[in-house]
Amino acid sequence: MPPSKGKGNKKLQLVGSSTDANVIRYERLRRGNFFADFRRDRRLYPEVYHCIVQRTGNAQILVWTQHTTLDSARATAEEHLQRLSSSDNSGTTLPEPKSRAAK
Amino acid sequence: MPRTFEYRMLIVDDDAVFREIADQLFSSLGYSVRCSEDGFEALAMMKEALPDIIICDLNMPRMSGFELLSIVRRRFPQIPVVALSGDYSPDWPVGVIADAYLQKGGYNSPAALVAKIRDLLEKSPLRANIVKSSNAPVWIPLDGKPYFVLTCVNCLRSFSLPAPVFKGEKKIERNAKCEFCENDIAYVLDAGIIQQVRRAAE
Repeated sequence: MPPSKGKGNKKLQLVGSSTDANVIRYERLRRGNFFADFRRDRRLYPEVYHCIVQRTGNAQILVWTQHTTLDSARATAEEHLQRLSSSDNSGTTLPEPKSRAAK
Repeated sequence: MPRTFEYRMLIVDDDAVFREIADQLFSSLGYSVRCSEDGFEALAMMKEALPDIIICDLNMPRMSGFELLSIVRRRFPQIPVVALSGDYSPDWPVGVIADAYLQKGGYNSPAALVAKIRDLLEKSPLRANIVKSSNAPVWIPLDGKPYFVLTCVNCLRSFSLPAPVFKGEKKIERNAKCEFCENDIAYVLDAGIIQQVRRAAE
């Protein structure tokens, strides 16, 4: 990994640098300053599609969901990208992500 | 640069993508993360170093999360564990021995998982020895009773032994066998410290 720029020794690493041969990566979706990556482990059945949404240039994972189909993962990613992008453009604070598991 | 404290986390999941994302997520938050893809590999890793917390999938090949968590709870009851699965309802699955259960795909943000981990670590006791010592920890009762308590460095369970009589030695170095896992344990008893504790108890 090249040396990171910016504050201190913090490393900047974006999710998406998988070297595992069993990991299938799908086309990235982009909207504004945000992007969504989709991946699954080819050995798992039934399939589990992971969707990760991040801001360009930031290693923080904003959204991480798992789905049984790629279509479902893409639909969820579109919703989150739309929400994040419009919040970003309007300059408002991002709303807290809904978390069913936290209930 | 001084070493900073890092919580050690063990992630057990047969899904390589889950391991990868969770590793990056928690590493970026300052955790020291190790990953294994089934229960057997996890137990082998725990022989080298005990984690402070375990995140474990339930359905895995070879040794399932159900089996692993049952072993962990018996052998290392102080380690908090979070069970994760995408195959069950949001309700706690029958037979899961864990401190928390989260359904995979049941959260839109990693915040729920991170918050749960932080919560469990805050409630759990800080590990006794950051640097692994060759000598087992010894606990001297404050009520003046003629025994002391030894904690096994292998299984981390404690048991009592009769206190030896000091005949002018400053400290006694001895070995014992763990009552639970039969591991050989070396320990050191310091006469001065024992006297101090006993005097304080009086």
